[in-house]
Amino acid sequence: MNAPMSLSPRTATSSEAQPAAESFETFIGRNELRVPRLIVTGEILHFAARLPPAEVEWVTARGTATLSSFTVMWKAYRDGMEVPYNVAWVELDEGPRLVSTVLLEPSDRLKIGMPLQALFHDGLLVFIPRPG
Amino acid sequence: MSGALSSIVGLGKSGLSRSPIGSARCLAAAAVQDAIANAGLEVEGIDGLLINQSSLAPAGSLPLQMMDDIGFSGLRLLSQMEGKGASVLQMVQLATMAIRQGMASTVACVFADAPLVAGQGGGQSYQNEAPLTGIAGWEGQYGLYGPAASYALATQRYMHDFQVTELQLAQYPIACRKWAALNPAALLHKPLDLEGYLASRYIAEPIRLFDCAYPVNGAIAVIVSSVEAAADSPHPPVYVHGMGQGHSTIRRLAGVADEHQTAGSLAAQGVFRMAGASPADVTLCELYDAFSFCAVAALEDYGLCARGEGAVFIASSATSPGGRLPVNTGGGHLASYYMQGMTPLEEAVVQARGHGAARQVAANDLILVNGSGGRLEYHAALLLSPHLKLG
Repeated sequence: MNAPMSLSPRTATSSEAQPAAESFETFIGRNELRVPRLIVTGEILHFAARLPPAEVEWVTARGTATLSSFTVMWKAYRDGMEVPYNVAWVELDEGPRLVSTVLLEPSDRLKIGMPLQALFHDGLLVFIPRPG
Repeated sequence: MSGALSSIVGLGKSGLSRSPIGSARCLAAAAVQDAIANAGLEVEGIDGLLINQSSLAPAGSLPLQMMDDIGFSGLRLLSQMEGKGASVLQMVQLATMAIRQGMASTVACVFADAPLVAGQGGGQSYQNEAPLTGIAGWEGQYGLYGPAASYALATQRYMHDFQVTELQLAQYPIACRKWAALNPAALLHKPLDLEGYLASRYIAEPIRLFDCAYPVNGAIAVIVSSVEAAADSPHPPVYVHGMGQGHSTIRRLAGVADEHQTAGSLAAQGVFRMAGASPADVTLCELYDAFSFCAVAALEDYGLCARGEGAVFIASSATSPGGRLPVNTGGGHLASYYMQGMTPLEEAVVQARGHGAARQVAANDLILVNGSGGRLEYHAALLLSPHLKLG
């Protein structure tokens, strides 16, 4: 027969791996862009990493980045969405990549490899072109 | 070279329609029954069932209990497969392994989907958030919806890195329409020229409507049996000679690894090693093309072109009717119908049997079939042949 099952809720402990994304979003909620770093090795992790929180420290990102790729969306997949708009695949100078958008002046043109700068716009992390 | 591993002896399908024609579950049962008849078997002769629903369909669309709908009882193998766009080939792989180990003798593998509902465009069924960063809900904030959007990012980057133009990439959907014109079952017969392609609207730049798979309601099934049992099959057996998989998820997308290196190359290593063959031996390709770029990436992943040369290869007409390496001879997902992996597998079986009529390729000796899903994260491949032994 099976051993009696524990009825306690399955809460994670600090030694159990958790999605880095949860901490990331907490910082974003405070208008802070931070990246996860493994304390022991100093390695910068990506946001999909799952690690024990005690092994990770969150360091403030410089906010400088490069445009890895982009698309201009012409199909409104949700009611009320206005098209076109751009979606950017941004590589932070620290290494991790994020999906975001680039706010453009009428004279700006998106180009892969262009330098970008992060900023918070109405609580949303966005990027603007940065003079190279 | 080694002998075959298993054989595909039955191919069946339900009706295929752009209009509602029934639930995925209903359609799946019809396709399995058709495949059993095609194999010259009775329901009692099947002892395994593998099921694949679209990962975008509601969970439980194709439950295990659907075995009852077909009249199966006492199956020795039953499972649902979930490997995104790789699932269909994974079913054939699992069936092959089960048969070789004696767990089952004759296995039905089915995919079914009913994404199109009345009064709604096909694209509305493919509007999930693309989970690229691994942060739940993140992509939605920026409107990165639909598989097209994430493939657009990959396509744009490819065009940039290898100086590939929109006009070169356009030659893939144009080639697919040429093949579709020779396939009575394909849904898009109308020829497509460059002007027509460029007139099609953007979904997510650089992906246009005609770069996208053509959604359909329907189901397709195959029956896998042992090499020995295939001798009694009413149709020419289609032998499985190689199987491979390769998976690499979010790490590549998160900027950790090389942008263009997908795990398709891992699947390629496996499938060629098992078959004792090399890319140069492949005479025909049936590739998983949810979007035009998928076919380009697959040609490169499987070593049929050098990295960065797939689009130029296609633009040279090499993959078109009469070309030296025919690709997606039924029109593929773009021009025939989007049965998510069953479209290329079905066409491979048709070609291996020699049943391709106007589109039949003479050199059907070694057929590469691939499947890929996620954003080129999950890969599976088969090498099929009408020959019991290769070489």
